[in-house]
Amino acid sequence: MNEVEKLREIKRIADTAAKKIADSMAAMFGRGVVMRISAVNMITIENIPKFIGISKEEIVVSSYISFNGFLSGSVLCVLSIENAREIADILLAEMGESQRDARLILTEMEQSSIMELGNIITSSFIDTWSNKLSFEVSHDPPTFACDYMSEIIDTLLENSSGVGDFGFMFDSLLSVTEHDVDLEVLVLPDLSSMQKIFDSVAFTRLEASSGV
Amino acid sequence: MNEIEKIIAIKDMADDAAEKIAESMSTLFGLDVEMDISSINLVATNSILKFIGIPKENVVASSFVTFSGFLSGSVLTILSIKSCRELANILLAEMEYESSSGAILSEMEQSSIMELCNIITSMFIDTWANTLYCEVTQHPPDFTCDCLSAIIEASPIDISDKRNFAFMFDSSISITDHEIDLEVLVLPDLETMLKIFDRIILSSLEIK
Repeated sequence: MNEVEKLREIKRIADTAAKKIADSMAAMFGRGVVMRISAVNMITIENIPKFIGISKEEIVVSSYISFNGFLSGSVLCVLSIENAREIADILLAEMGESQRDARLILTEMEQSSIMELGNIITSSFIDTWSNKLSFEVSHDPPTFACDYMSEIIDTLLENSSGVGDFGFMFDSLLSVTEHDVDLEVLVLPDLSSMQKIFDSVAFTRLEASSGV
Repeated sequence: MNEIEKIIAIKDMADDAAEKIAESMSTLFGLDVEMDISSINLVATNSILKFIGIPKENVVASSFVTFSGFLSGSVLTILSIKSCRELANILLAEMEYESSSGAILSEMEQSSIMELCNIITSMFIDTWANTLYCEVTQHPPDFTCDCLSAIIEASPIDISDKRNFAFMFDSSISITDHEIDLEVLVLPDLETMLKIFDRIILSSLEIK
């Protein structure tokens, strides 16, 4: 399997994760949910804010999980505040959320629904990757943050000593009851885990084609 | 050589190109020039517009070169108009020239930026062809000053292509203490992308 095929296979694993995320969200919130991954990109970590298109000084919402075991690293999910509000509005539409407190970036209920969403996304990504690549991976509970983009990246890098120079960035789109919301999912393995992923993806397709 | 080592070797190849570009620019403009490639990214073609980080309706300056032969594809260099003016001001500091009243860039500004972009694109192709031991024919560069979306539309790049990838190099040029950001994109066709990954091993053999 060549490098391009491996990247496409990595995208396919993310597609499987996206399907699970949509199913979990649909079950949890009782709404029609579709999640699509439009692209996989292998990026240098320092480019994350630039590629997400959010400046370092902007406040964003994020959820991240550190994982350890045969593979180590982190999964990060990032949403702009605008998109977080939009998706919370849809998810909470029938719950009669009281009027917005202008002093809060997100109300408690908005924060809690977005936290749930972030948790589903990050943990489904980890589970799907470890299943597909047949690795045992243990992960910490997800950490939710609503902070400056730069702070989130710094904290992530500090807490995940395993994060290497490169990461996989998945441009994603969540459609909830016909509203489309962009979000980014980043899988940030350490360098040796990144290589293990490249080495292992070749076998996932072999298994798929032999019907295993 | 594994995938990560290959990506790092491709970045090294871009660093070599950057060094040559700086040397050529120093000679051409008689100024101290340094070019730094801060990162390499392997991006899906349908993510390019987003990752350039410039709204697609913004006017930018770009040079687009296609190449064919053993390797085929294109190289695209993109500079914001602000960066162009800043660069042109430095490059043309000792010449009396008309500023860009009315036009986005004056004729002389455009011509200096065109020269610079052409050096970048052609040096990239030359260095890659040399490092990968192959013959590559470069076609004349196409310099444009237009909306980013119009530039991409006029090029053979299919930005809806979900299956192909491009190398995106975040770069900066330092001239007389000014640092100017630019993007260099190498867009090999699919077959060429695979040849690059296969032959990049040769570059490390040579070093050893």
